[in-house]
Amino acid sequence: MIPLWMATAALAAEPVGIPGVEPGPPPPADQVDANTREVASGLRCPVCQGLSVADSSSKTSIEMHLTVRELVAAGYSKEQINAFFVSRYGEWVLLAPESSHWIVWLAPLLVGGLGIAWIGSLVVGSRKKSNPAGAPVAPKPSDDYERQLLAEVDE
Amino acid sequence: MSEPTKPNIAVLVGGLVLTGALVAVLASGFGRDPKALPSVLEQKPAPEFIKSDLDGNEWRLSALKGRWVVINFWSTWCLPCKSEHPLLLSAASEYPDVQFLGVVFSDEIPKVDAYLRKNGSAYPHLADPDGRMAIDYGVGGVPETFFIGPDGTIVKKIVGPLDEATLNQLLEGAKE
Repeated sequence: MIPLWMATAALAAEPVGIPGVEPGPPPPADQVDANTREVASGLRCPVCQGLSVADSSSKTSIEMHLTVRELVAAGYSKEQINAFFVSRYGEWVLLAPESSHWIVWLAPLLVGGLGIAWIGSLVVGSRKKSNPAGAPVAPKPSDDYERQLLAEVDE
Repeated sequence: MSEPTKPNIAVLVGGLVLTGALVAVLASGFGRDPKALPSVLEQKPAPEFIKSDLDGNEWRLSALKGRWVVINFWSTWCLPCKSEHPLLLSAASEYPDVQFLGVVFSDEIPKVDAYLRKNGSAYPHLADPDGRMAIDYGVGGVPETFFIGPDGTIVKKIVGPLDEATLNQLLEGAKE
Protein backbone atom coordinates (compact mmCIF):
# COMPACT_ATOMS: atom_id res chain seq x y z
CA MET A 1 0.00 0.00 0.00
CA ILE A 2 1.56 3.34 -1.01
CA PRO A 3 1.19 6.31 1.31
CA LEU A 4 -1.18 9.06 0.25
CA TRP A 5 1.58 11.66 -0.10
CA MET A 6 3.34 9.48 -2.68
CA ALA A 7 0.20 9.08 -4.75
CA THR A 8 -0.43 12.83 -4.51
CA ALA A 9 3.14 13.66 -5.50
CA ALA A 10 3.00 11.29 -8.46
CA LEU A 11 -0.25 12.81 -9.66
CA ALA A 12 0.93 16.37 -9.12
CA ALA A 13 3.43 15.77 -11.91
CA GLU A 14 0.62 14.76 -14.30
CA PRO A 15 0.66 17.16 -17.28
CA VAL A 16 -2.29 19.52 -17.50
CA GLY A 17 -4.02 19.88 -20.79
CA ILE A 18 -7.07 19.24 -22.92
CA PRO A 19 -6.50 16.30 -25.28
CA GLY A 20 -6.42 17.41 -28.91
CA VAL A 21 -6.68 21.14 -28.10
CA GLU A 22 -3.73 23.46 -28.58
CA PRO A 23 -3.39 26.21 -25.96
CA GLY A 24 -2.48 29.77 -26.81
CA PRO A 25 0.33 31.73 -25.20
CA PRO A 26 0.08 31.68 -21.37
CA PRO A 27 -1.34 34.88 -19.85
CA PRO A 28 0.81 37.14 -17.63
CA ALA A 29 1.06 35.71 -14.10
CA ASP A 30 -0.88 38.62 -12.58
CA GLN A 31 -3.88 37.90 -14.85
CA VAL A 32 -4.22 34.20 -14.06
CA ASP A 33 -6.35 34.68 -10.93
CA ALA A 34 -8.73 37.15 -12.60
CA ASN A 35 -9.10 34.93 -15.69
CA THR A 36 -9.66 31.87 -13.48
CA ARG A 37 -12.35 33.71 -11.53
CA GLU A 38 -14.08 34.72 -14.76
CA VAL A 39 -14.16 31.16 -16.14
CA ALA A 40 -15.04 29.48 -12.81
CA SER A 41 -17.91 31.95 -12.26
CA GLY A 42 -19.61 30.63 -15.38
CA LEU A 43 -19.34 26.95 -14.46
CA ARG A 44 -22.00 25.23 -12.35
CA CYS A 45 -20.94 23.33 -9.24
CA PRO A 46 -22.16 19.76 -9.94
CA VAL A 47 -22.97 18.98 -6.30
CA CYS A 48 -24.58 22.29 -5.26
CA GLN A 49 -27.89 24.10 -5.84
CA GLY A 50 -27.34 26.95 -8.28
CA LEU A 51 -23.82 27.85 -7.16
CA SER A 52 -20.92 28.46 -9.47
CA VAL A 53 -17.61 26.66 -9.14
CA ALA A 54 -16.08 29.98 -8.05
CA ASP A 55 -18.60 30.45 -5.22
CA SER A 56 -18.83 26.89 -3.90
CA SER A 57 -16.57 25.46 -1.22
CA SER A 58 -17.38 21.82 -2.01
CA LYS A 59 -14.43 19.57 -2.69
CA THR A 60 -15.61 18.85 -6.24
CA SER A 61 -15.80 22.57 -6.98
CA ILE A 62 -12.38 23.20 -5.46
CA GLU A 63 -10.93 20.50 -7.72
CA MET A 64 -12.71 21.97 -10.74
CA HIS A 65 -11.47 25.43 -9.75
CA LEU A 66 -7.89 24.17 -9.55
CA THR A 67 -8.26 22.47 -12.92
CA VAL A 68 -9.57 25.73 -14.42
CA ARG A 69 -6.63 27.61 -12.91
CA GLU A 70 -4.10 25.17 -14.35
CA LEU A 71 -5.74 25.33 -17.77
CA VAL A 72 -5.84 29.14 -17.70
CA ALA A 73 -2.17 29.27 -16.67
CA ALA A 74 -1.32 26.86 -19.50
CA GLY A 75 -2.80 29.29 -22.01
CA TYR A 76 -6.22 27.78 -22.72
CA SER A 77 -8.95 30.32 -23.50
CA LYS A 78 -12.31 30.64 -21.74
CA GLU A 79 -14.05 29.11 -24.78
CA GLN A 80 -11.66 26.13 -24.84
CA ILE A 81 -12.08 25.50 -21.10
CA ASN A 82 -15.88 25.82 -21.32
CA ALA A 83 -15.90 23.41 -24.27
CA PHE A 84 -13.83 20.93 -22.24
CA PHE A 85 -16.26 20.98 -19.30
CA VAL A 86 -19.26 20.79 -21.65
CA SER A 87 -17.71 17.72 -23.31
CA ARG A 88 -17.53 16.05 -19.88
CA TYR A 89 -20.67 17.26 -18.07
CA GLY A 90 -22.91 18.50 -20.89
CA GLU A 91 -24.20 22.04 -21.40
CA TRP A 92 -25.81 21.81 -17.99
CA VAL A 93 -22.43 22.71 -16.50
CA LEU A 94 -22.64 26.22 -17.97
CA LEU A 95 -24.58 28.66 -15.77
CA ALA A 96 -25.50 30.76 -18.82
CA PRO A 97 -26.70 29.02 -21.99
CA GLU A 98 -24.44 29.29 -25.01
CA SER A 99 -25.10 32.17 -27.39
CA SER A 100 -25.89 29.69 -30.19
CA HIS A 101 -29.17 28.98 -28.34
CA TRP A 102 -30.57 32.35 -29.41
CA ILE A 103 -34.14 31.30 -28.59
CA VAL A 104 -33.27 31.03 -24.88
CA TRP A 105 -31.94 34.58 -24.90
CA LEU A 106 -34.68 36.06 -27.10
CA ALA A 107 -37.74 34.31 -25.65
CA PRO A 108 -37.89 36.32 -22.38
CA LEU A 109 -37.51 39.61 -24.29
CA LEU A 110 -40.13 38.53 -26.81
CA VAL A 111 -42.64 37.43 -24.17
CA GLY A 112 -41.97 40.60 -22.11
CA GLY A 113 -42.46 42.78 -25.19
CA LEU A 114 -45.70 41.02 -26.11
CA GLY A 115 -46.97 41.44 -22.54
CA ILE A 116 -46.23 45.16 -22.49
CA ALA A 117 -47.87 45.59 -25.92
CA TRP A 118 -50.95 43.71 -24.75
CA ILE A 119 -51.32 45.77 -21.56
CA GLY A 120 -50.77 48.97 -23.59
CA SER A 121 -53.48 47.97 -26.06
CA LEU A 122 -55.90 47.26 -23.19
CA VAL A 123 -55.27 50.69 -21.64
CA VAL A 124 -55.66 52.53 -24.96
CA GLY A 125 -58.77 50.48 -25.84
CA SER A 126 -60.49 51.23 -22.54
CA ARG A 127 -59.77 55.00 -22.92
CA LYS A 128 -61.18 55.06 -26.44
CA LYS A 129 -64.27 53.16 -25.33
CA SER A 130 -65.09 55.65 -22.57
CA ASN A 131 -64.34 58.71 -24.76
CA PRO A 132 -64.41 57.78 -28.46
CA ALA A 133 -64.05 61.36 -29.77
CA GLY A 134 -61.27 62.24 -27.42
CA ALA A 135 -63.07 65.50 -26.52
CA PRO A 136 -62.83 67.03 -23.07
CA VAL A 137 -65.53 65.60 -20.85
CA ALA A 138 -67.90 67.98 -19.10
CA PRO A 139 -68.35 67.29 -15.42
CA LYS A 140 -71.61 65.59 -14.54
CA PRO A 141 -73.68 67.29 -11.80
CA SER A 142 -74.03 65.14 -8.74
CA ASP A 143 -77.06 66.85 -7.17
CA ASP A 144 -79.74 69.53 -7.85
CA TYR A 145 -77.66 72.38 -6.44
CA GLU A 146 -74.72 71.55 -8.67
CA ARG A 147 -77.03 71.17 -11.70
CA GLN A 148 -78.45 74.59 -11.08
CA LEU A 149 -75.00 76.06 -10.58
CA LEU A 150 -73.73 74.61 -13.87
CA ALA A 151 -76.83 75.88 -15.73
CA GLU A 152 -76.22 79.40 -14.44
CA VAL A 153 -72.57 79.24 -15.46
CA ASP A 154 -73.56 78.12 -18.98
CA GLU A 155 -75.92 81.06 -19.33
CA MET B 1 -76.50 49.90 -12.65
CA SER B 2 -73.80 49.20 -15.21
CA GLU B 3 -73.99 46.23 -17.63
CA PRO B 4 -71.75 43.28 -16.83
CA THR B 5 -68.64 43.32 -19.08
CA LYS B 6 -68.45 40.52 -21.67
CA PRO B 7 -65.35 38.32 -21.53
CA ASN B 8 -62.88 38.88 -24.33
CA ILE B 9 -62.84 35.41 -25.95
CA ALA B 10 -59.48 35.91 -27.69
CA VAL B 11 -57.77 36.94 -24.43
CA LEU B 12 -59.44 34.10 -22.54
CA VAL B 13 -58.38 31.46 -25.08
CA GLY B 14 -54.85 32.89 -25.32
CA GLY B 15 -54.48 32.89 -21.53
CA LEU B 16 -55.78 29.33 -21.27
CA VAL B 17 -53.39 28.11 -23.99
CA LEU B 18 -50.38 29.78 -22.34
CA THR B 19 -51.32 28.55 -18.87
CA GLY B 20 -51.98 25.05 -20.19
CA ALA B 21 -48.59 24.94 -21.91
CA LEU B 22 -46.83 26.14 -18.75
CA VAL B 23 -48.63 23.58 -16.58
CA ALA B 24 -47.80 20.80 -19.09
CA VAL B 25 -44.09 21.71 -19.01
CA LEU B 26 -44.02 21.80 -15.21
CA ALA B 27 -46.04 18.57 -14.93
CA SER B 28 -43.64 16.75 -17.27
CA GLY B 29 -40.80 17.60 -14.85
CA PHE B 30 -42.48 16.08 -11.81
CA GLY B 31 -41.37 12.56 -11.02
CA ARG B 32 -38.11 13.00 -12.90
CA ASP B 33 -34.76 13.07 -11.15
CA PRO B 34 -33.39 16.51 -12.04
CA LYS B 35 -29.84 15.18 -11.79
CA ALA B 36 -30.47 12.17 -14.05
CA LEU B 37 -29.25 13.89 -17.17
CA PRO B 38 -28.08 11.69 -20.03
CA SER B 39 -24.30 11.64 -20.05
CA VAL B 40 -22.66 13.39 -22.97
CA LEU B 41 -19.89 10.80 -22.74
CA GLU B 42 -22.06 7.83 -23.71
CA GLN B 43 -21.16 6.36 -27.11
CA LYS B 44 -17.93 8.39 -27.08
CA PRO B 45 -14.36 7.22 -26.43
CA ALA B 46 -13.64 6.91 -22.74
CA PRO B 47 -11.07 9.48 -21.54
CA GLU B 48 -7.61 7.97 -21.15
CA PHE B 49 -6.15 7.82 -17.65
CA ILE B 50 -2.91 6.79 -16.00
CA LYS B 51 -3.51 6.17 -12.32
CA SER B 52 -1.96 4.22 -9.48
CA ASP B 53 -4.00 1.79 -7.45
CA LEU B 54 -3.75 1.53 -3.67
CA ASP B 55 -0.94 -1.03 -4.02
CA GLY B 56 1.11 1.29 -6.22
CA ASN B 57 0.45 -0.50 -9.54
CA GLU B 58 -0.05 1.76 -12.54
CA TRP B 59 -3.22 1.44 -14.62
CA ARG B 60 -3.95 3.01 -17.97
CA LEU B 61 -7.17 2.60 -19.94
CA SER B 62 -5.46 2.10 -23.31
CA ALA B 63 -3.75 -1.01 -21.92
CA LEU B 64 -7.17 -2.56 -21.30
CA LYS B 65 -8.41 -2.25 -24.90
CA GLY B 66 -10.17 -5.41 -26.06
CA ARG B 67 -11.79 -6.03 -22.68
CA TRP B 68 -14.93 -4.77 -21.04
CA VAL B 69 -14.06 -2.31 -18.27
CA VAL B 70 -16.35 -1.25 -15.43
CA ILE B 71 -15.22 1.89 -13.60
CA ASN B 72 -17.00 2.62 -10.33
CA PHE B 73 -16.47 6.01 -8.64
CA TRP B 74 -17.15 5.63 -4.93
CA SER B 75 -16.23 6.75 -1.43
CA THR B 76 -16.55 5.44 2.11
CA TRP B 77 -18.82 8.32 3.19
CA CYS B 78 -21.40 7.44 0.52
CA LEU B 79 -24.14 5.09 1.75
CA PRO B 80 -25.38 3.99 -1.71
CA CYS B 81 -21.76 3.08 -2.54
CA LYS B 82 -21.70 0.79 0.47
CA SER B 83 -24.99 -0.79 -0.54
CA GLU B 84 -23.73 -1.64 -4.03
CA HIS B 85 -20.34 -2.89 -2.83
CA PRO B 86 -21.43 -6.55 -2.34
CA LEU B 87 -22.97 -6.58 -5.84
CA LEU B 88 -19.73 -5.33 -7.40
CA LEU B 89 -17.72 -7.89 -5.46
CA SER B 90 -19.87 -10.78 -6.70
CA ALA B 91 -19.96 -9.37 -10.27
CA ALA B 92 -16.17 -9.21 -10.35
CA SER B 93 -16.00 -12.94 -9.68
CA GLU B 94 -18.92 -13.75 -11.97
CA TYR B 95 -17.37 -11.86 -14.90
CA PRO B 96 -13.64 -12.66 -14.71
CA ASP B 97 -13.05 -11.34 -18.24
CA VAL B 98 -14.34 -7.92 -17.27
CA GLN B 99 -11.87 -5.54 -15.64
CA PHE B 100 -13.52 -3.86 -12.67
CA LEU B 101 -11.85 -0.72 -11.31
CA GLY B 102 -12.87 1.39 -8.36
CA VAL B 103 -11.93 5.07 -8.25
CA VAL B 104 -11.73 6.74 -4.86
CA PHE B 105 -13.74 9.97 -5.00
CA SER B 106 -13.08 12.77 -2.48
CA ASP B 107 -11.94 10.45 0.27
CA GLU B 108 -8.92 9.62 2.39
CA ILE B 109 -6.87 6.61 1.38
CA PRO B 110 -6.44 5.24 4.95
CA LYS B 111 -10.25 5.22 5.37
CA VAL B 112 -10.65 3.47 2.01
CA ASP B 113 -7.98 0.96 2.93
CA ALA B 114 -9.67 0.18 6.25
CA TYR B 115 -13.08 -0.16 4.58
CA LEU B 116 -11.78 -2.58 1.95
CA ARG B 117 -9.96 -4.68 4.55
CA LYS B 118 -13.18 -5.01 6.51
CA ASN B 119 -15.66 -5.45 3.64
CA GLY B 120 -13.53 -7.19 1.04
CA SER B 121 -12.00 -6.16 -2.25
CA ALA B 122 -12.05 -8.11 -5.50
CA TYR B 123 -10.54 -5.56 -7.89
CA PRO B 124 -8.09 -2.63 -7.88
CA HIS B 125 -9.04 0.78 -6.55
CA LEU B 126 -7.39 3.84 -8.10
CA ALA B 127 -6.40 6.93 -6.15
CA ASP B 128 -7.63 10.22 -7.64
CA PRO B 129 -6.46 12.77 -5.06
CA ASP B 130 -6.74 15.79 -7.34
CA GLY B 131 -10.10 14.67 -8.75
CA ARG B 132 -8.77 14.97 -12.31
CA MET B 133 -10.09 11.58 -13.39
CA ALA B 134 -13.52 12.36 -11.89
CA ILE B 135 -13.63 15.64 -13.84
CA ASP B 136 -12.48 13.86 -17.01
CA TYR B 137 -15.41 11.47 -16.62
CA GLY B 138 -17.88 14.24 -15.74
CA VAL B 139 -18.57 12.82 -12.30
CA GLY B 140 -20.71 15.06 -10.10
CA GLY B 141 -21.33 12.70 -7.19
CA VAL B 142 -21.03 9.10 -6.15
CA PRO B 143 -21.73 6.41 -6.95
CA GLU B 144 -21.34 6.68 -10.69
CA THR B 145 -20.42 3.68 -12.82
CA PHE B 146 -19.15 3.58 -16.39
CA PHE B 147 -19.40 0.55 -18.66
CA ILE B 148 -16.70 0.70 -21.30
CA GLY B 149 -16.84 -1.67 -24.27
CA PRO B 150 -13.86 -3.55 -25.72
CA ASP B 151 -13.35 -0.77 -28.30
CA GLY B 152 -12.89 1.82 -25.56
CA THR B 153 -16.31 3.43 -26.01
CA ILE B 154 -18.45 4.34 -23.01
CA VAL B 155 -21.53 2.18 -23.49
CA LYS B 156 -23.43 3.36 -20.44
CA LYS B 157 -23.09 5.62 -17.42
CA ILE B 158 -25.17 4.75 -14.38
CA VAL B 159 -25.76 7.49 -11.81
CA GLY B 160 -26.65 6.10 -8.40
CA PRO B 161 -26.37 2.60 -7.00
CA LEU B 162 -26.29 -0.32 -9.41
CA ASP B 163 -28.85 -3.08 -9.36
CA GLU B 164 -28.17 -6.66 -10.33
CA ALA B 165 -30.50 -6.74 -13.34
CA THR B 166 -28.95 -3.63 -14.93
CA LEU B 167 -25.43 -4.84 -14.31
CA ASN B 168 -26.12 -8.29 -15.80
CA GLN B 169 -27.92 -6.79 -18.78
CA LEU B 170 -25.04 -4.44 -19.54
CA LEU B 171 -22.40 -7.15 -19.17
CA GLU B 172 -24.32 -9.79 -21.13
CA GLY B 173 -22.08 -9.14 -24.12
CA ALA B 174 -18.96 -9.67 -22.03
CA LYS B 175 -19.78 -13.35 -21.54
CA GLU B 176 -19.93 -14.11 -25.27
